[in-house]
Amino acid sequence: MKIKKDLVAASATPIILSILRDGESYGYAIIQRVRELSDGELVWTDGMLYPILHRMEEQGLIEARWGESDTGRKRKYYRIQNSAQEVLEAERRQWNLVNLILARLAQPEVA
Amino acid sequence: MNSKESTLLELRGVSKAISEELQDHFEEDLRRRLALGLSPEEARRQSLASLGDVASLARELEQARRDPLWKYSRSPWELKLLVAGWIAFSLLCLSRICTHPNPTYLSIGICVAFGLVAGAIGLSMLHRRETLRRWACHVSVAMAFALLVKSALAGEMPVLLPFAPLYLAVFAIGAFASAWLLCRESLRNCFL
Repeated sequence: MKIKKDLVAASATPIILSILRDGESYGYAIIQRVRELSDGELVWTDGMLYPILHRMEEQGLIEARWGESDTGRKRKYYRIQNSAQEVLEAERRQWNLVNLILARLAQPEVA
Repeated sequence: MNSKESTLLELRGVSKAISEELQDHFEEDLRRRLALGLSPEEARRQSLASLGDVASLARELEQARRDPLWKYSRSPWELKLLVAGWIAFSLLCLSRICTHPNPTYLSIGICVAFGLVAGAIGLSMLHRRETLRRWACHVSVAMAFALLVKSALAGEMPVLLPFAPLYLAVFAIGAFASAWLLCRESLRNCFL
């Protein structure tokens, strides 16, 4: 299933924040996690993810630190900021509402 | 390492931090493909293909780090208040100096302005607003320089004042911070 670009962009922030709420992570791992959660249906690219991560960092939603990978290479890890928890909750409420509306509209009307 | 891989590390005008992050992404992807059983050549080809236009991506990432100040709608309220106060004071200071040249007022104005800027820089560091920090430094130095030129033209140099060392020290710190921020990318490249 091909997900529209606009929908992918709109859902990126809450998805990233939700992933980082479970613990710090890095770009490649976030892409893999999204692929895994969507059973391979949603495939983010580095070209899409990294600009969003950097903007979220500048906005203060997430913070980054340099660490080391298991191979000893420098790696940039991201983690959620406390102030972003509210943003995430607000995003979730909005997505739940949209989901609820679509679910109700999909149900056959009872005469 | 072929030419495309080398561009990951040597993109012109791109900070080493960004190159490092993209390089790490590439190598992680390459390892995964090798683990799937692909030949080294094929794994490398696919990893490079999946990266797409690295130069464009790197430029976009640089742009994300340099977004203009007015895009920061989610800045904390205390930061906005401080910046608003700083800008208002700076404008007031400039207008007063232009209409009533006075060395004492000039020096106090510059020191207080720098104090406000120092606060803005501190808060921006606390909240990790790199762009704001950069702007605060550059504008403060530009403002101090404008005041200095104005006073020099009026024949009232603030260095004649008793607290001139304080003024000079504050100015020097501001100028140094501004220069440091301008060279930050180069410094990062040296010490990352």
